[in-house]
Amino acid sequence: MRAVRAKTWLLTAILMVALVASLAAGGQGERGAVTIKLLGWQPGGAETWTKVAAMFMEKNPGIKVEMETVPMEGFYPKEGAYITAKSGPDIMGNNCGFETWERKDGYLDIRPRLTKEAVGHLLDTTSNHLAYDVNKPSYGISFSYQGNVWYYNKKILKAAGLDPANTPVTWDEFDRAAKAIKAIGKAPIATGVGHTIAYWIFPEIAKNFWENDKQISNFAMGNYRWSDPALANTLKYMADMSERGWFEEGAATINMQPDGFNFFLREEAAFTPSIISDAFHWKAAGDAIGHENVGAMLAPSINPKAPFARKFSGVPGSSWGITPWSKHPDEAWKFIVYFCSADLANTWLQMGGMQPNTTKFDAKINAYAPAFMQIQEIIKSPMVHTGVLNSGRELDELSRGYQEVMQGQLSVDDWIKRLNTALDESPLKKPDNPIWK
Amino acid sequence: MSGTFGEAGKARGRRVAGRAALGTHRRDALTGALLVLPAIALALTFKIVPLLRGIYTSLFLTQLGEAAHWNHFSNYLRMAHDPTVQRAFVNAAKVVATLPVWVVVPLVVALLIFQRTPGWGFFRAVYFMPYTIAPVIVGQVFRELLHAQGPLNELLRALGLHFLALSWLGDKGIALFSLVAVVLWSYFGLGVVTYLAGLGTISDELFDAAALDGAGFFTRMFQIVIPIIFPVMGYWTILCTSGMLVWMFPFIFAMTEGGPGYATMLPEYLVYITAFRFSELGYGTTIGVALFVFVLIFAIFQVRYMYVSGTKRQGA
Amino acid sequence: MRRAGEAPAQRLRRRVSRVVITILLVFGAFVALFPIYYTAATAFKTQKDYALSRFAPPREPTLENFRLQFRRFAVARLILNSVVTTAGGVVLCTIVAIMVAYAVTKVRFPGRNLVFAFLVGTLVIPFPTIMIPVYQTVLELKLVDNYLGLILAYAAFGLPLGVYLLGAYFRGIPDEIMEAARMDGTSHWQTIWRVMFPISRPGVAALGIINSVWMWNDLLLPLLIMPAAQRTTLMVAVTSQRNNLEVNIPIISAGLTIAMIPILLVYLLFQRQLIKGMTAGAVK
Repeated sequence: MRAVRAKTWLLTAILMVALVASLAAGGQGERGAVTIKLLGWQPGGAETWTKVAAMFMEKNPGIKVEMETVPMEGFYPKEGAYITAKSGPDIMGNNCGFETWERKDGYLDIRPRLTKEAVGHLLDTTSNHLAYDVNKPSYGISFSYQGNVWYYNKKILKAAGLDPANTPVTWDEFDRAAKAIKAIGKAPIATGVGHTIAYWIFPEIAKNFWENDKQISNFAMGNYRWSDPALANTLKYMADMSERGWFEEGAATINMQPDGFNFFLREEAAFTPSIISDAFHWKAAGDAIGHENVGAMLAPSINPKAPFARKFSGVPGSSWGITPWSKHPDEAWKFIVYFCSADLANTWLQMGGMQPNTTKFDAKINAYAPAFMQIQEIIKSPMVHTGVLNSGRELDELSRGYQEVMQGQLSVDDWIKRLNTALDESPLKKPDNPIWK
Repeated sequence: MSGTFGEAGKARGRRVAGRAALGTHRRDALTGALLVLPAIALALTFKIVPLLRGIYTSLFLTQLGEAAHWNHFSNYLRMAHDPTVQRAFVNAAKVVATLPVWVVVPLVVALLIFQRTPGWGFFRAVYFMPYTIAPVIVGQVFRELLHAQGPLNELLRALGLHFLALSWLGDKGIALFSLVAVVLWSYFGLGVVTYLAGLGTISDELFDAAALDGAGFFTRMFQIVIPIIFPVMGYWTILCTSGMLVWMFPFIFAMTEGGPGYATMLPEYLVYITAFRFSELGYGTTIGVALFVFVLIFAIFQVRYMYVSGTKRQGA
Repeated sequence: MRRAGEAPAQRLRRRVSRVVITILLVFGAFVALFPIYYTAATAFKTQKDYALSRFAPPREPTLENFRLQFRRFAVARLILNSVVTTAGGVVLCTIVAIMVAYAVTKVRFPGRNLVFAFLVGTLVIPFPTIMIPVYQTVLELKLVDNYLGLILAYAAFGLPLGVYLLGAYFRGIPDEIMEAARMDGTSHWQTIWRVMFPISRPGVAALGIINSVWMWNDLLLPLLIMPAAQRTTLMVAVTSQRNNLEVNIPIISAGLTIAMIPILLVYLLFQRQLIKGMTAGAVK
């Protein structure tokens, strides 16, 4: 009996603690300070965000900032849950393009707030608007600038008898380089699958085949199909990359993030297709391999003379906006403006390796990284980033199909068919959809 | 131990129960209801009400964030013609078909441990440990281990077994079974422990007596062991049938994401990407409802079996 | 095990089979333990060490990755969150499951088998289907970011297995034990806690371990119900590093190792009870 009574007390005690703790939970945030919550995946690193939030809270004693960070597979369900329940954090972020447009019910139209004071210093705010139309709602602003470059390991290139100062520009040049790299037992390109196929690889091949801006607009509207020449050729040459053996063995069965990129960090491959901001960038590469060993370049071109072939696919990095259910939209906007301000550009750059979405930063901070300096030149001729113009379904099919194409399990023609089906099933990609009017 | 628990005690208990039966029926009904009330409340709140809301979503919503409107079963009609959905359910059926492996493998391991070879206690402890490792970790590690150029294939090639060094997660024909194997790796310890508990009821004398009679190892297995642990086998089988598809979900995330192509796409994962990556909440939930019905059919058979075997054992 | 009267040939065969069995079991143990070793070993490597060899033990072990995790996360707080919600979930689930198991096996009330089937059957409701509605429910109950919300959810999701396991276990306990106690005038409630519970401690312990493991490791429920950074669980926090924030795999592995250790310890401490507890109907 004593044992039973002791256990009962123990159980009761545990439950009491839990209950008290939970009651205590409800009390927080109600004591005078306004609390704003932010849902994001902390591009630039957890430490940077902690610092930025701390700096903001010091300047604004009445406002408390709380971060909500989630594992990637949890991000979309969380957004979905918040949008459905019409309740949740005050600030959310998504990539520009369809990722935001398909979730636009999670964002207020902030056009009234886009004053010169708040956003005058930002390079690109157009891409935050619905359908990239400044007469339509804007869903956020971005403090970082994002886009695609290929990083290369100078040590491996030298060992393969190649000149790191003269990296391949044409398809054939790259093929020759690839053969030399394979001869010394390294893989030419480190990659993996996942949404990075649509964001990081697809746009760089498609660049060779777009004839004009109108085609790209039509692609966004769903008026240009995967069986049409520019896209069909893109898919063909993506398959070509794999057929020529440019990727490491087994690339199809790993995720680019982080394993494909890590293949490059382990110095098993000479090149890797990646991005300039957020993560998986020159800073991560340089920290692992040594900044003096890392270079950045544009992807090799199939048609170097094509109008877009030597342009940089650029887009604002994560678009940050206010949620419609936020009870503190003004405080939320204050924080957004703060972390997107010109004053913070150097902090983001230094701590997180983020390319700022403004010219008001000091590039010399990062002069220790040759790749970063190369990037500053590359971004001078930008074009629309076509990766983010893929709908959710197309994103998925690009990765899924490529996984099979890379292993010879799917023909390009069948891949085109499946992408057309994905396009047809994408609700927003219909030319007569009101968002395009 | 006699007295309350011995034969006399049991007989007294039965007589008392009989006399009191009529008067306590209503009280029993009330007590029973109160005792199960918390459980029912939890199940309703966290499972049934959400399920009903899900069904509502499938009938009244299509795109995320839009206003609810009766959609004339459009989601269900669409699903009926969707080859991806069909593919996912075919895969689910394939997974269910691997059930015999789930039942037999832990049994074999349990029997090996049961031989009480040196260190058997250590093995018994170790084989349950995989269950304690989160699927996200397991999935990531095995993704590397099963890589076509990974350590497993390296080992196989070193042993001269080149033909066995397959692309475990890349080959569309075997990816699904590789996935099942990893999930089984995670859960087989639970089965081993279950079987060991059942085997523990077999006395040594019974075993030795059979050995003296000249019965070989396999004869002893089939004629003594299996019949005794049959109920335990049933218990584990039911658990696997209902749990298998549920257990696989987190591993798909960590290992294959439904790929290559749709080779390891299972309905639950398809629900997830449709609802959240494509933002088609209504349609995704519809597939979820279909999955629920699919598994419910199995569940009904299981529970009926359990009920039947349960009452049989009570009466025995 | 002594075998009396065994012929020499039989003894030799038995010795050979023992060696074979041991080899098989050792191989199995290696397979079972490798992922734990791999994750932990990687956690002690520098990026360079990891680049040199992924699977070999660390050449120059370092604690830096762990230090970084402790700097990046309020690890103590996260562990507290995990412990409170896991323990709360286990305790609540066990109590509720005991009540049901007792009621369904020992109390003659109408519909008890239906109740049993219903509760166990809720296992098959696919989680993504109900993910958002569960969040909506918890939100409406005002239990988001509240330990109680997650505890209740854990208990609800652990019920099917709990009811199944304890139901089978209680069924194996002879009715006469209960009836004799009742005859002495004890109420049902007292019978549960003074008679049934002590006898079924092994079964309860087994359920406790099985529930602790999945509750500790779960990602999606805490994600929905406890999103705030200071309320989230250890496992959610460390896994949120993958795929987007962190490219450094040893650092990620350090976080995963920290998250693995507590539940491994709990298991190792209670693994004997687990074996005893899985026995259904072993009470003679």
